[in-house]
Amino acid sequence: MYKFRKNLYSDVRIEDVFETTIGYRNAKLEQQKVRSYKGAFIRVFDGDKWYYAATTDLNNIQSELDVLSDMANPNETIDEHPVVKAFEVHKKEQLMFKDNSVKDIPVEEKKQVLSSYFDIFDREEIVQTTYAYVDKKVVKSFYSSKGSDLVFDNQTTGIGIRSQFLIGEEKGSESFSKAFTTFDPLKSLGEYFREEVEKQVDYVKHAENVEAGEYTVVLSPMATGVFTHESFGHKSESDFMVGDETMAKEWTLGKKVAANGVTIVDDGNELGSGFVQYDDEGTKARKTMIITDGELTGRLHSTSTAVALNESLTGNARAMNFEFEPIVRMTTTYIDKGTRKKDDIISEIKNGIFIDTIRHGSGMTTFTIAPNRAYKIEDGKITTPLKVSVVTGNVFSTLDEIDGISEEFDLLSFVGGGCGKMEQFPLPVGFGGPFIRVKKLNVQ
Amino acid sequence: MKQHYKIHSKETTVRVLNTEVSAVRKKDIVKQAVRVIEDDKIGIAGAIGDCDLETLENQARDNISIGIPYPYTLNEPQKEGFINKDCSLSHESLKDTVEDVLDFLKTYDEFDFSEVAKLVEDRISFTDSQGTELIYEDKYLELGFILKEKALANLFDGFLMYNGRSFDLEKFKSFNKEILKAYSTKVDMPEEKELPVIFMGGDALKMKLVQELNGEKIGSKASLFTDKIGQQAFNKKLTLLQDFNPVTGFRPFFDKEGTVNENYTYSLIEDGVIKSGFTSKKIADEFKLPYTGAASGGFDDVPTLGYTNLSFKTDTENLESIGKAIMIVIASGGDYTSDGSYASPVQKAFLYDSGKIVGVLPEFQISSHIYDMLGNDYVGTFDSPFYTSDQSTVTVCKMKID
Repeated sequence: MYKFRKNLYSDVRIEDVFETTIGYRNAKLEQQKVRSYKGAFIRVFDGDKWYYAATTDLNNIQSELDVLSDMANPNETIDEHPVVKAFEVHKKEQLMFKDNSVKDIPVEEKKQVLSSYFDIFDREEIVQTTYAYVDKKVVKSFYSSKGSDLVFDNQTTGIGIRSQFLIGEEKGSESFSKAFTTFDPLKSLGEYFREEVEKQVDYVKHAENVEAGEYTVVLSPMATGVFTHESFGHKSESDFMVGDETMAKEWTLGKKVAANGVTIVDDGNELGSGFVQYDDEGTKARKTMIITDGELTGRLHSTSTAVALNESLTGNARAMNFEFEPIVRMTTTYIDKGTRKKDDIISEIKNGIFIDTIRHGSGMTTFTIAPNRAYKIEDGKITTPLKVSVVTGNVFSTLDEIDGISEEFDLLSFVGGGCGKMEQFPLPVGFGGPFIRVKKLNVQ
Repeated sequence: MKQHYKIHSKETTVRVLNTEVSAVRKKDIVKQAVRVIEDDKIGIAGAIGDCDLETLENQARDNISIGIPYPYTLNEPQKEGFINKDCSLSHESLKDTVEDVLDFLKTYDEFDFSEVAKLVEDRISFTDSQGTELIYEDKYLELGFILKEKALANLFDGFLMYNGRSFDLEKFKSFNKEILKAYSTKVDMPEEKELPVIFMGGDALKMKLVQELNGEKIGSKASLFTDKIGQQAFNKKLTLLQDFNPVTGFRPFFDKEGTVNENYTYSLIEDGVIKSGFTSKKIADEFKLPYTGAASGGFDDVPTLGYTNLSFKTDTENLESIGKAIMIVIASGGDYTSDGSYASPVQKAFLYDSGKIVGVLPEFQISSHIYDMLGNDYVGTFDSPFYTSDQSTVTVCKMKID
C-alpha cells in the first residue's frame, strides 16, 4: 500500500476502465473498438492548497505522491483541519457489476443487438443514419491517508442513433438514445425507436416557423430534465457559492424559490447515466432534496464546499475521468412527479407550445433550451409541429411560474454528450421528471 | 502499410478560487495507436499509457479481421514538422505568473475571479512505414478566468482570457483594465433595433456552417447547402477556410489521415461562393466530392468525419470604423432552426463605439438568418485588436436586437 506523508492529507484514486465502441453508418460497420486502460489521480492537501497529479504509470504512484508531498507545506494540525475531519472513511469492496459485466459479453452479441434496429431506419425519408453502441465499465479503487480502502464499480451501456431526414424540400435531423447500467435492456428498444421515427417523419413533413413571443409552455420529461438541470441544477452546485456572500444570501436554505408543489431532487443512487456508488473523494452517494414543495432545502457538495457552508456531505464530488480532480457535479437530477394528468394540464391551454425533444440547453441567469421537436398547443390540444430556435427564461422567476406538474414521470439516460462544466466535458448525468407547464417563457 | 499516431500531453494547471491559487495540477499522459492497412481493410489498436509498440501492432493486425474497409489511396510519404519553442513560460514558474496576474486582479475588489490557467506542452506525431513523419510540437498558455460581480447573484458574469505563446502581463493588464472598467459601467440598450454585432472568434456563426458543410451531409442531400454548391450564397467578401494552421489553432497541421494542405488551409467558401464541404478520404470517395483532408476522431478511432476547425479570412481593416456596435462576451444556448433562422439570448455584452469599449449592457436577444448574417448583413472579419490571444480575428455582422 502507499506510504502517505505525515502531516499532510493524501488520497489516490485508480480507475480500471474497459470500454467498447461500435459504429455503423447506413448499416455498414465503420468503427469497432474494445480497449482497457488504467489511470490514477493523486491528491495532496496541506490545509491551504491542493496538489494534484494524473498519471497512467501505475508503477510510479508512490513517487508521484512523494513529489506532490514535497511541493506541499507540512501541517502538524492537518488532521484537525475541518475538511480533512469531514472526509468519510470507507473500507469496503462493493462490486455491483461483477456478475453482469459488459466485459463478459462477446462483441459480436453487442453488434447483433445494434444491427437488429437497422430496419427501423431503412426508409425513404431517411437519407443517412449513424448507429453507435457504447459501453464502459470502471472499477475504482480509492485509498486515503485517513484510512479509506474502497473498491467499487460503475457501468454504462447504451445505443445512440442519429438520422438525417429529407422529405421533399424539408430537412431535419434527430438523435435517439437510451442508456442503462446493464446490457439486457438494450435488446428491447424497437418500439421506442419506431415511435420516435414516426414522430420525426411527421415533424419534418409539417413543421412551420414559430411566431416569436411569450407563450405558456409544456415541457416533456426530457425537456423538464434539461430545464431542471440548466435552470436550477447548476445553481445548486455549491462551489459557485463558496465565498460569494450575495449568492449565499440569494439562495439561503428555507427560502421560497419555486411554486408550491415543485420538488427537485438529485440522487446518485438512481441507476442510469448519473449513477454513482461513491463519489470521487470516497463519499457515499446520497439523495439530496434540493427544493421541497417550493422551498430551498439543500444543495450539492464536495467535502470542501460542505465544510465552507457548514452543511452535510452529499456525495457530489465527481471527476470526468482519471485525468481530473473531483468538483461539484450533479448525478441524476429531476423534478418529482405531481398529481395531475398530462392531458388535463394541456387541455387548459388556449394558445401555447409543447416542447417534446431538445438538442441542448444552457444555464446562467437566463437559461436556454434549444428544442428539436416542438408543437403548437391550440384550444387544449397538441397540433402543428413548429421550428423553434431557442426557448429562454429567467432562472430566478421561472421556477415560480410552474403551475402544472403531471403524474406521468420518466427518468432518462443517454450515451453521447453529457454535462459540461468548465474544462470537464462531458460527464454522464441522468435527468428527467414529469410533464410541467410553465406560465410564460420566451420562444424564438 | 503501418501508421503510428501518438499524443504526448504534458500540462501544469493552476486552479484559482476567488482570486487565490487553490490548487496545482500536473499531468503527463501518453496516448497512441497503431493502424495496419492491408488488402483494403484497416485494423487499429490503441493504448493509454506506456505500451509495447510491437504488441500494439500485432493487435492492430489481428483487428483487420473485423472487416472495416479502407480502400483509399494513401498519401505519398512526407516529412514536415511544426516545432514551436516561442513560449518561455516553464511548468515550474506558472504558479508565479498566475500570482502576478492575481495581484493585478485583486485591485478590483468588486469582482472575484476563478478557474484555471494551464500551460500545455503537446507533441503529436503521425508516422508511417513508408517514411511519413509529421510532427507537431508546441507549448502555450491557456488562461480562462470567470469573473463574478460580488454584488450580483449570478453563477458568473464574464470571462477574462488569453491563449498564446507570448504572454505579456503588461498587455494583459492594459487590455483588461479597459474591460474591467467597462464591467463597472452600466449602459442602457441603444435605441436601434439593428446593430453591428462583434463576435469574438465567431463560434456562433460557425456553429451552423460546420454542421451544413459536412461533406457527408452534403453528399447525402441532407444539408441546407446541398443545392448551393458553386453558388453565390454569401457576401462577396466572405471567405471561409478549413483551417489547420498550427500557429493560430494550437493544433496539428495534419488531419487524422496524415494529410497536409497547402498553407494548412482549404477554402470551403470563397468570395461568398460555396466551393465544397469538408471531407475525409472515405466521404470524398463515396460522394465524389473534393478531398479536403478533414478526417477527425479519437486517437485510436478509424478516421471519421465530424467537427473541423473553420476560420473566416480577414477581409476588412479598421474595426473602429464600424462605429457603434455590440461586442458579445457571452451568448450561450442559442441555435439555428433546420432552415437557418438563428436566435440567442445575450447574457453579457459591451457597447462598443469607434474603438472604445463603453460599458456593459443589460441582457437582450439577437436574431437573424444564416443567409442574412453572412450575406447582406455581413460587415467583415477583422484582425482582433483585443488582447485575448497572440493572433485572432473578430467577425462582425448586423443582427436584430430585441
